[in-house]
Amino acid sequence: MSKSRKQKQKTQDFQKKKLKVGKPKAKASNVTDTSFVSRTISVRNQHLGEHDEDFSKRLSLLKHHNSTVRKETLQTFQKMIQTIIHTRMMTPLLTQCIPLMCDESRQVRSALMDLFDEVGQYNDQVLKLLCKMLVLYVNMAMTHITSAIQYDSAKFLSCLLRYCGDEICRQAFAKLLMGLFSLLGWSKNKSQNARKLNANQAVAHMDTLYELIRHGCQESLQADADTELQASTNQYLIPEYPQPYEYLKLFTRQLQTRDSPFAVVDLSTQDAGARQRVLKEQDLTNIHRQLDIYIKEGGNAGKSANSLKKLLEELQ
Amino acid sequence: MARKGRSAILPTNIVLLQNLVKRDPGSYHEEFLQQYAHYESLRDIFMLSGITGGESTDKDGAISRNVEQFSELIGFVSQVCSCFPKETTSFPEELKQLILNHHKQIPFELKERILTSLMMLRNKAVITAEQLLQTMFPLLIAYSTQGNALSVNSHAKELRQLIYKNLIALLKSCNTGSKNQKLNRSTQALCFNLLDEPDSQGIWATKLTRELWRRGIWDDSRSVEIMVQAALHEDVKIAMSGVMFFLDADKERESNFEENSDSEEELDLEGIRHRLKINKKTGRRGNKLKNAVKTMKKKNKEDTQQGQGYLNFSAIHLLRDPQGFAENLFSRHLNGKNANKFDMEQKISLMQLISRMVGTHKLIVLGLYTFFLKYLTPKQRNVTQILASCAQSCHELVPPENLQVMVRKIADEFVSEGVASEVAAAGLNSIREICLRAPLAIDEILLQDLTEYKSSKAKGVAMAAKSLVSLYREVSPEMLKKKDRGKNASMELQEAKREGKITRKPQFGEERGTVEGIQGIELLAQWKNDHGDEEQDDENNDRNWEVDDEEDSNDDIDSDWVNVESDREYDVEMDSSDSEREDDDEKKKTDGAEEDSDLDLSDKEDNDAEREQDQDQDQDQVAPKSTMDPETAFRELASTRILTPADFAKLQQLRTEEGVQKLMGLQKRGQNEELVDSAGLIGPIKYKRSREERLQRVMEGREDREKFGSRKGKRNTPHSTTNREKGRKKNFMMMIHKKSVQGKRKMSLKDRQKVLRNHITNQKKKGF
Repeated sequence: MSKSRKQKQKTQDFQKKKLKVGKPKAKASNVTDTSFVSRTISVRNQHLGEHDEDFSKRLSLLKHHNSTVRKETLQTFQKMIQTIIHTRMMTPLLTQCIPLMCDESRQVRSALMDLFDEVGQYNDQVLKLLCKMLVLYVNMAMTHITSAIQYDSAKFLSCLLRYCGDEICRQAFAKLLMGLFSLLGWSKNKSQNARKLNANQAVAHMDTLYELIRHGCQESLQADADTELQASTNQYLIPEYPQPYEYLKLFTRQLQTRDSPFAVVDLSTQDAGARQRVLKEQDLTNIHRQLDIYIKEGGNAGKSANSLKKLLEELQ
Repeated sequence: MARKGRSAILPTNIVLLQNLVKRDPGSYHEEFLQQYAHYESLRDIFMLSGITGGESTDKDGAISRNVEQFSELIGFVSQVCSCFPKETTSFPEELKQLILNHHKQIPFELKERILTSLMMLRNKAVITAEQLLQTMFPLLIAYSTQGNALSVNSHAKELRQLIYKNLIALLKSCNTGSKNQKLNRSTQALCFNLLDEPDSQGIWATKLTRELWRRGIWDDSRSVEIMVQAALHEDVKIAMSGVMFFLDADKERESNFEENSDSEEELDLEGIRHRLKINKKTGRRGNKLKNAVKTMKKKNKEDTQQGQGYLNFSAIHLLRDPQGFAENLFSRHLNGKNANKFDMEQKISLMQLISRMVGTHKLIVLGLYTFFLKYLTPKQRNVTQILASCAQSCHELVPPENLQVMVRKIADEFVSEGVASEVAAAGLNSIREICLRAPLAIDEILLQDLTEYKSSKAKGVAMAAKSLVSLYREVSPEMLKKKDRGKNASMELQEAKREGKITRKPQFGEERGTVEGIQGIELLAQWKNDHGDEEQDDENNDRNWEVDDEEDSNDDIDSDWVNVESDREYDVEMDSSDSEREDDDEKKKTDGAEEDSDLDLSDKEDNDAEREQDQDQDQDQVAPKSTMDPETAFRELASTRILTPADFAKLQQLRTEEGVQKLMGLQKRGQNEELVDSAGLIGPIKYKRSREERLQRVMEGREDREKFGSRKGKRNTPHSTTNREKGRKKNFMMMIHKKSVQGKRKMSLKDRQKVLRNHITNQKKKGF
C-alpha cells in the first residue's frame, strides 16, 4: 500500500542522487563554505635567507631548556669568536652567557669556560669591561647551594684571573678571598665541621687562591711599570683601567644601608698594599695549619698547598 | 660520627635547608651564612642589571631564572631571619628599599614575594607594624596612580588587592585583644594625608576606613572624621564613598556581626542534659556535657566581651562638628555650581545624609528646605526617597515658616483630585511624617483641607488622611475640625474651656520627648490617699515586689545545676544576675534574701530606715487633698518612697481607666533618629494579581502537602508498562472484535450489575 509521508522522508535520505551531464554535482547539505572576500592583498612574509649570518638570533638559544642545546650554542659562539670579537655582538653575547655560570649542567659550564678562554685569548679588554658582572656571578656561584657549581666557580675565577686579574682584584678582592676561604672551609668562624673536600677540588681551589693572592698582593706583578715619575703624571693622563673613580659610587644604584661594610672594603682594595692588609686581617694561623695538613698528605694537593704557603710567607 | 652523617645529607634545595635551619639554627649557621651571601650577590646582580638595562627589557630570559632564585632566597631568609637576628639586621631595610625604590623594575612575582615576606617579618616581630605601614601605603598609592597602573606587566590591580588585603589583616591582627591605639592613630594620620591630596588616591583611605569600620576594628571619632573629610572632597568618587559610609556603614556592620553570631551552631544544652539523665551514664557522654557547658560559657563570655569592647555608636553620632559638616556638605555639593557633577542618585544620597544629620542632631540648615522644593514633583524620579529625606530633615527647632513652604508645595503637587491615588497617599504620608517631627509645619486651614481626604475611596489615601487626623488628635486637637477631634480630645478641650484654662498649644522651640516625672502619678497619689488605710506597709510587703515568672526563669539557663539537700542549711548569696530583675537592686537584695523567711525584718538595717520613711509618709497623707496637680504629686510620691512593681501596675490600670494612654505613644514618636521609610510612604497598594501570580500563591499553599493530592500518574515502584496499560493503548478497531469486549454487551443484567458493584468496591478500596 501507499507508504506514509514520514516513511517516504526517511527513505529519501538514503537514495542515491543521479548525476547529470553538464550539471555540477549537488553539494551535500552539510557542506561549509570557506570562501571569503577581502579588500587587501596579503603577501606572505619574505624570508630573507641564510646569507646574513645573524648571530643575535641564536642568543635566545642560550636560555633553551635543553642543556645540550645550550652547550652547542656556546660552542658555536666559541667558533665564531674570531669573527665577531670586534663587533657590537660581544656585549649582549657575554651578558647573556655569564648567568650560565650557575647552570645546572656541567657540560654547559665547561663550554662556557672554554668560551671565556677563547674571548680572553683574542681580546681580554672585553672581559675587563664586563668584569663587574663577572665578579658578581662568580660570587653567586661560590655561594650556590649546589656543590658542583661551587666547585666550578673556582675554575671560572682562575680562568678570569688569567685575563683580567688586576681588574678583578681591584674590584672585589676581599669578597672573592672570603668566598674562596669558605669554599675551602677555612673561614674564620668555621668550626671543625668543615666539609671534606676531595683532593681534586682542594687542588683547584688552592691554585685559584694562590693565583688570587699573587695577582692581588704581589707588587712585582703590578709595580713593574709604576715608577715615581709615572705616579705623579698618571693622574693627568687617561687611566689604564676603565672607571677609575668607580669606588666612589657616584652613579651606581645601591640600597642604602646604615653601615654597609662593602663600601669600605671596596675602597680599601684599590691597591696592593691595602689588599695585603686585608689578607693579614684573616686568620692566617688557621690557614697555615690547614695548609700543613695538605702538605703532610702530599700529592698534588700537597704541592699546591706548599706553593701557597710559600707565597703567604713571602708576603709576610 | 653524627656530624659526618649530617653533612652527608646536606640539602641541595632551599626548602630542605630551611627546614633544617629552623630545627637547629646553631649547627646550620655556616649554611645559612652561605645562603645569605648568595642572597647578597643576587641582590647585587639585580641592582647591576638594573643599570645595564638590557636585562630588564627582556624579562623572560636569564633574569627570570635569577628572579626565581632570588624570590626563593628572600623567602628563605625571611623565614629563618628570626634565628639569626645579628646577621640579618639590614635585611628588612633592604627589602623595603627594593620594593619602594625599584618597584618599577621588579617583576610582579618578586614584588609579591617581598610583600608577603615583609608581612611574615611583621608577624615574627622582626619589624614593627608602623614600619610595614610605611612601606605599604606608598606602594598602594604608587599603584593606584595612572602612570604605573598602565605600564606593561605591572599587575597593578593584583598588587593593590594584595596590599589592601595585607593592610586589613595587619590592622586586624594588631587590634585583636586590645586596640593598638598608636598604630591606629598613625594609620589614620596616613589616611588624612591621602585625603589631602588632590587626585583620587583618597579612595583608598575611605575604602580602608570603611572596611575597618565594618569589622568593628575602628570605631572612634577619628575614623569618622576621616570619612567627614572624604565626604567633603571635591572628587565625586571619594565624596560619594564618604557619604555612603555614613548612610549604610552601620547597617553593614551590624549585619556583619549578626552573621558572625549566626554561624555558631546553637548547642542544645538542655537536650544533652536530659539525654544524660535517661541514657546510661558513660564517661563519653559526661565529657560531651562538660564540653557543651564549657563552649556555652565561653560563648556567653565572648558575647559580653564583644558588647563591652565595642560600643555601637553610629557614625553620625560620633561626628565632632555635625553643624559644620552638614552646612559644608550642603553648600559644597548640593547648592553651588558643583552640584552638577553629581548625578541624581548621588544627589539623593547626599540629601539623605544631610537630612539624617539634621534630624538626629537637630541642626539648622535653612537652605535645605527651599532646595527640596525643586525636586518635589510627582514626576521626579525616586521622589519617595526625596520625600522621605524631606521628612527626615524636619524637627521642632526649625522655624515653621521654612517648613510651611515645603508642606504647602507637597500638598499642592501631590495631594489633589487629579492625581493617582498612590501619589496622593505618598504626599499625605510624607506630610504626616513632617508634622510628626514638627507639628507647627502645617497651618490649620491646610490641615483641615487635607483631613477631608479621609473619606476618599482609595484605601491608601484614606488611611493616610486618617493617620494625619489621629496624629493631630494627640498633638493639638484644636487645629482639627470639631468632628475629627475624637471623644477624649474634645472632652479634654471642653473641660479646659469650662475651667477657663488655656489649652496647651504646641509652641515653636519647645522640645518634646523629654521625660518629666511619671505620667499619671497624680492619679496614683489620689488613689493612695483614698485607699491608704487598707495596706499599711505596701513597700515591705513581698507580694508587691513579685514580678512575672518569665523574667525569673532566665537566670538559671547558663549556670550549672546545684544540688540542694533538704537537711542542710545554706547561706544564700545573691547573684548579680538576679539583681537585674528590677530597676532598683538595692531594694531587691534585702528582699531576695527574705524570700523564704516570713517577713523577718528584725535584723535588717535598711528596713528600719524604710519604716521611718513610712511613718513620715503616713503623716503626709493624713492631710488629704481633694485634687492634686501632677508636679506636687510627683514630688511627694517619688521623693518619699520607692514605687514597687505593684504600684506601676496600678498606675497603668488607672491611666487606662482615665484614657490618657496616648501620652505613651507620643513619647516614643518624638525621637528624630527614626528613619523615614521611603517605601512605606506610598502606603498599602493592592493591584489585581496576574494569573501567574495567583497560581504561584496557590502552589505555595500546597507545599509539603503532596500526600493529600491525587495519586494519578504516580507509581510507588518504578516498573515498565503493565499488560493492562498496553491493552488500553491498543487500536480501537483491533479491540472491538475481541470476544472479551463483545461479550460485555451480551452480558445478562445480573452479571452486569455484579461487575459494576465489584468495580465500585474496588474503587473504594484503592486508597488503602
